[in-house]
Amino acid sequence: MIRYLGYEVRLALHPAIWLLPGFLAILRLTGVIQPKSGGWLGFLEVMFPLLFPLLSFSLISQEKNWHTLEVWVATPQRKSISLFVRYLALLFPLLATAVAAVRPEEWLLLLAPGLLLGGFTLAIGLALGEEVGLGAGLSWWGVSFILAITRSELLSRGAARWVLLFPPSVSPQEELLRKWGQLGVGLLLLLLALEVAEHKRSWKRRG
Amino acid sequence: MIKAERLNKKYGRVPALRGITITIENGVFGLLGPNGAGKTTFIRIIATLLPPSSGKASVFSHDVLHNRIAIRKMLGYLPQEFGAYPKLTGREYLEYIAALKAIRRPKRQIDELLAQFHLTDVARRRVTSFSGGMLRRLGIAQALLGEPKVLLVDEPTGGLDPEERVRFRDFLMGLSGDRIVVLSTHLVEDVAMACERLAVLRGGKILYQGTVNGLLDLYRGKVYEVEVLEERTKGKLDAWGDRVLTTKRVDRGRGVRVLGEVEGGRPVSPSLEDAYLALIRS
Repeated sequence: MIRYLGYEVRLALHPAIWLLPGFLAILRLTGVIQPKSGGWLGFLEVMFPLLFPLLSFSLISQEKNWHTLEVWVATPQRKSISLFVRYLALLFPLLATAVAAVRPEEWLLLLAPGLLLGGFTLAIGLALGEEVGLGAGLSWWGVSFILAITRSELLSRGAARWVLLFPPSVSPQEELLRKWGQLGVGLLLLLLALEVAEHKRSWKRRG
Repeated sequence: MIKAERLNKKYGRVPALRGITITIENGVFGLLGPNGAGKTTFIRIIATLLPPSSGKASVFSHDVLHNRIAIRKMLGYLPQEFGAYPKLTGREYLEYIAALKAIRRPKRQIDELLAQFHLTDVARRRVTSFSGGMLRRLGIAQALLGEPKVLLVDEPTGGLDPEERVRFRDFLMGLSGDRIVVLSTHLVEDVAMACERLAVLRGGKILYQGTVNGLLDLYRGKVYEVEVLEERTKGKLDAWGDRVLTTKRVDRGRGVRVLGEVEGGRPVSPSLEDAYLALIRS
């Protein structure tokens, strides 16, 4: 079992990804970055979630590019378990990055939108193709980002407000609620992605 | 036993299988047909990778739609487009597939398969450094892990050199009789050498199913060979049209095998290639 898990982790991860938390840990230990700094936190809040859809994309596209899906599917192993282990393997370096970059009370701030985007990209990517998934994930992030920096009133009222990843001017209570909501929906989307993976048997061929 | 009844598969509006009914029992069974005949679609349905559009298919009474895991537990599958994880070595790849197949203590089996397919010396090399033939042999080895009751191999000899092809066919023939081996190919020679029974497909339909000898019997006494001078070859071939089965170079021109009697021709025993071509063109 341990050996199997080891193989799944190896297949999912490129060792170079560990450079990111290592690099941030060095910057933090040497005082170059201050985890309490508002600018640093704001930067991470916007940029950190981007890593999740990128890694979800890489997880799907490598299975496609290696032409390994058919043999994988034709084994009795449940694909959702394999995919879950691989996704978890990707989350560890991201979790380590958050730990290295900010204080524990800010972990949720970084991880919740990331898990939301990652689960979304994975589910759409498995159902409709990895490029569609990445496009959808990045579009969601991009629209939220543009509306945040332009402080646009568009989508700022009612239920639409909850769709934005970085809404302007929210109370601390609402902010906390939003983050737990994002985390919950992100996990639901991950479950949906795992269910899609169970039924995934081939890739759509390009044009 | 693999059974299919009125099996249909459409890709959008394009039919790939049209009402196939077939029974495959223990032994090596050949699926022969030109490209686009529906061989891979049939194999993928049996491997539970593709749902049929209508009709039924089962493997040892397990339905391909409702008992996928049960079928996968007894399945060894080599797809036409085989790829292995480039991060792993040959041995690691087999260990990983053994884990997916829930095989306990697979080391002895992996050692034997590596030796059988002449991969022992390269087993510690990453699969990215493997040649096409080595990769194909690794694919066959992974399909055999767990000693599956049903082995589906789709165009397995593509990319193998002649010596490896002969070795692979010998290997298929040597598999014990208590399992089903389905060999999908467009190479008549592979079926002639390795299979006891076969089905010939064209355009998603079965044109023939039965023994290899049964197919030969259909054309016994109907195939003629005639020598044609080189300068008259074109005219003769044009005149005989679709009746021409095969041609080969001889001393002063061509030896032509034709379906049906021709002037100057002598009856010959049909080869499987003759019978296959005659059937496909009928």
